[in-house]
Amino acid sequence: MKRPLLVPIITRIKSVRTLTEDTLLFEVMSLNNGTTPSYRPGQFMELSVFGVGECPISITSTPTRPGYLEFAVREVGSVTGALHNLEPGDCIGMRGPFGNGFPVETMKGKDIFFIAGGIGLAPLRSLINYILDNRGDFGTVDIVYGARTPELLCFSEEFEAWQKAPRTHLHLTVDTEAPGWKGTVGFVPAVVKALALSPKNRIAVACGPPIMIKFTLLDLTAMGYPDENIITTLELKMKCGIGKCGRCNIGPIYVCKKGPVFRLSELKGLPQEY
Amino acid sequence: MEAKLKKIAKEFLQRTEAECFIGYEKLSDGSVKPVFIRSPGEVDRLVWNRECFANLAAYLPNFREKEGIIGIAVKGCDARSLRELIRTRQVDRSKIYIIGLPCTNNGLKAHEGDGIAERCFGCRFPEDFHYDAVLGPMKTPDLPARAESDTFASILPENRYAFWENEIEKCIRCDACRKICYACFCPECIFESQQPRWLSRRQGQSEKFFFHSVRALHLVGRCIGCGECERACPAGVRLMFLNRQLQKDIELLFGYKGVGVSEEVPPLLTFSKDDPDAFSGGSE
Amino acid sequence: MTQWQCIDKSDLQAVLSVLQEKRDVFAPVEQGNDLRLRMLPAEGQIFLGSRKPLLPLKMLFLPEVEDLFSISIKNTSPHISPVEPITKERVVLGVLGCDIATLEILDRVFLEEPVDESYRKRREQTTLIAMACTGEGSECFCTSLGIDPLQPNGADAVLAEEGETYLLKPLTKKGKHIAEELQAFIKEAAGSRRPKEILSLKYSRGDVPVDRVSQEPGKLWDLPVWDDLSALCLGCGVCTVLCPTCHCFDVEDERRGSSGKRFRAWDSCMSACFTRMASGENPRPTTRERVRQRFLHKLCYFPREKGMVGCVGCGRCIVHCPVSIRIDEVIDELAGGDI
Repeated sequence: MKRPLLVPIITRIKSVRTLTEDTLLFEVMSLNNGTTPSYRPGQFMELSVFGVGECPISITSTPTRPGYLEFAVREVGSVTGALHNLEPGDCIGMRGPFGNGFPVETMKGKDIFFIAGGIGLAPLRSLINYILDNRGDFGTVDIVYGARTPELLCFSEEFEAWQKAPRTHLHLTVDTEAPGWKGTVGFVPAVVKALALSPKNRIAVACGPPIMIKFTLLDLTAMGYPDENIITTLELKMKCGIGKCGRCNIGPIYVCKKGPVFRLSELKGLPQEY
Repeated sequence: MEAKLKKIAKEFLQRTEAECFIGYEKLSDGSVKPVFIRSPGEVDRLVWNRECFANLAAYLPNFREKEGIIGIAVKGCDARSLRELIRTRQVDRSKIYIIGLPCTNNGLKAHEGDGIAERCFGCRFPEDFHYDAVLGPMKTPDLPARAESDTFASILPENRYAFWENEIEKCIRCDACRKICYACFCPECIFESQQPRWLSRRQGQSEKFFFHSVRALHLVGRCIGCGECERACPAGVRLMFLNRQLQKDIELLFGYKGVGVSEEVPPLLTFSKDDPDAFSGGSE
Repeated sequence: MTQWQCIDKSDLQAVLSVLQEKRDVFAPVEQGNDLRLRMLPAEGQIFLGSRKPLLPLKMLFLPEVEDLFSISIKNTSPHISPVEPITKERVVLGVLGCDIATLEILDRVFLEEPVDESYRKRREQTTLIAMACTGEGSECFCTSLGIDPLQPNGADAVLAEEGETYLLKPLTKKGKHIAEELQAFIKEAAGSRRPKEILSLKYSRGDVPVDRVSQEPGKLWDLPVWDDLSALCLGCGVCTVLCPTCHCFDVEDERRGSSGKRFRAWDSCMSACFTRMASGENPRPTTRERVRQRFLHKLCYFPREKGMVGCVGCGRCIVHCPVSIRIDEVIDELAGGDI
């Protein structure tokens, strides 16, 4: 019998690591037969804590490293709060993958400019590692990543690998001076402007807090990036993840189906509500 | 009287600080509904008749953020709720311009047929409410309260639960009663709260009872008996049956004549040393 | 060639008994001043005629509350038991054209990939016997949406009232099965007379300009009608509960001890927390945004994406809106905005 809609598979938490004061990284086991459901960078899963509820979390691992799935979960509400109380060995439900994912095919052969703030790095990390695992298919990779303080930078254990990867540059920044921090100080949009990377043959991918996105998109446009070459993700309340419950409807689309990854050109065609 | 209403409203809207005027208008299909007039030229839309059921004061908290003055036409019964909204600081008295609408002895029209609306019987009028303008002397329709037949006394105690089961079963959890009520002005209602979630979306009798009993208790001593909840209910749940009974109980226990009739604070929102129950150590 | 067949009104109870032998039978039943769709046998008089039940037909295909699965929560190995949506075949009797038309609209959401199995099963296992309707009141405008209330499309069979008889005409295979089961009650065939020849349409406004509403949201975004509606609308959501085509739902988990359930239930886009995220951010923070979303979704986005207007002109929202907001007037305003 076809799996009924809205019924999750049961999976187990393999490990939990602290990323920042309010964000944990969950590693989730593969399915019973040792595989992971196939997914694309930029997609999300609906994770269930049984008896509490479900929430959409983007997949932060990359499909090029099979056998496990990773989710970065920030504690914001009742479900994420309940997730934070779970331990390795506990069971959760999983539905998905949902969403459109990044348009990887159209990004091949181009230089990629990642711009992330805070936990916004999580969905981009999937694409960054995917690109690094398929290094020959893509041009240079530049990553601008910032947080309010050094302690709020996520995935710091990956930074060395990214810095060492061929034709890859990592530019870290924090919002204000901090003791022991010897790197750049400044807001992410300012660092983006200062880098002044040419829009020629380059795709910009931005994800972070709304205020950072707002200014970053304006600056990228001012720097000459065409709307089709600026990619971002929309964060909305979602429930079913399959375009039926109506919650994520904006204009003619459902974000859970046509998004959450959008080009700026697509966003401009939607009602300005987000 | 309509001509006078239009004149006063027009003069009000001509003031520079006037934001808008809230009154009633009549549609081509005969229904009377609230109208929000922003320019003096629109005052001809205003009406005042026996079908002006809505309590316009209930809209005032929505205008909190506006800079200017809001004009509003209120019936005597609605003025009670307005007084309570002012007392609880949901409305700033200095930012509203109140026009009193006097009723005739026939009160408002009943919803079915040509009689008099239920709410007008036993009309409790605010005695010393200050209006900025009136269309005529504000007085109460001289209609005595109806006999016991419309409250619990007419239902034997052993039949009451079955009565309520029957009424509550009709409820479709649409929230119309809550949204139309002036007293439901909480920015986040307990039933909208997600964290914690007090009431699930299940449509069982248990959930419906919970909603209606909590809501009725939140209204005790604050309900003006306007009956808008019952009028708004698409399923015909007899909410006023419950609310009128609770009002009777409050009067019996505290001698309280009703919210907004005077400056007295509703009994359950305050305390006094003369309260019926003794203050003990809590051991009772 | 299928013809109209006659059944005596006095045989109705016996007909219902036969139908109930193998199936669940639903019909409009009087409850106080309203009609409600109820499973028979039900307390109250059955009503077959030109009156809408308060809650529309969608309640039988997307139930108000529907359990999805139950789960036994044990740390080592939880076990999910999906809930079987329906098991028995069903017949719905006395459905009006407006309600039948909504199924075509709901199909475009729930039968689109991924298919909602619960909805699909209910569709498959339900036979719809429509009632020819002459219109209920001034709120009706189904004919503006291309619906024929006298002989509705999408029904498996149509019933029409003529004096002391009901005329029955099967329209699909499912309808023919039903007619065959009721052979014992069929009197002489009525020939080829159709409801239009015995009934005449009393109410249905046919000039509501739904087709002239632009499919470009930008053209409708800042119309003055939203100012009026946002001041007037209470945000109560009565319209969404009673609307045959409104289908937004919420999903909730509940837990008692070591067992839990997940269910879905009707939700309303008019609710303040519909789009509010756990962080507190809300892209539709006031009534204005929510009212606009509701009307534009039905009249602009849905037609654009699915090729059908998301309204069937039943007028339930017009009758029951506590502040007399009329969707036909809103459509007039939006159609004017295209100029």
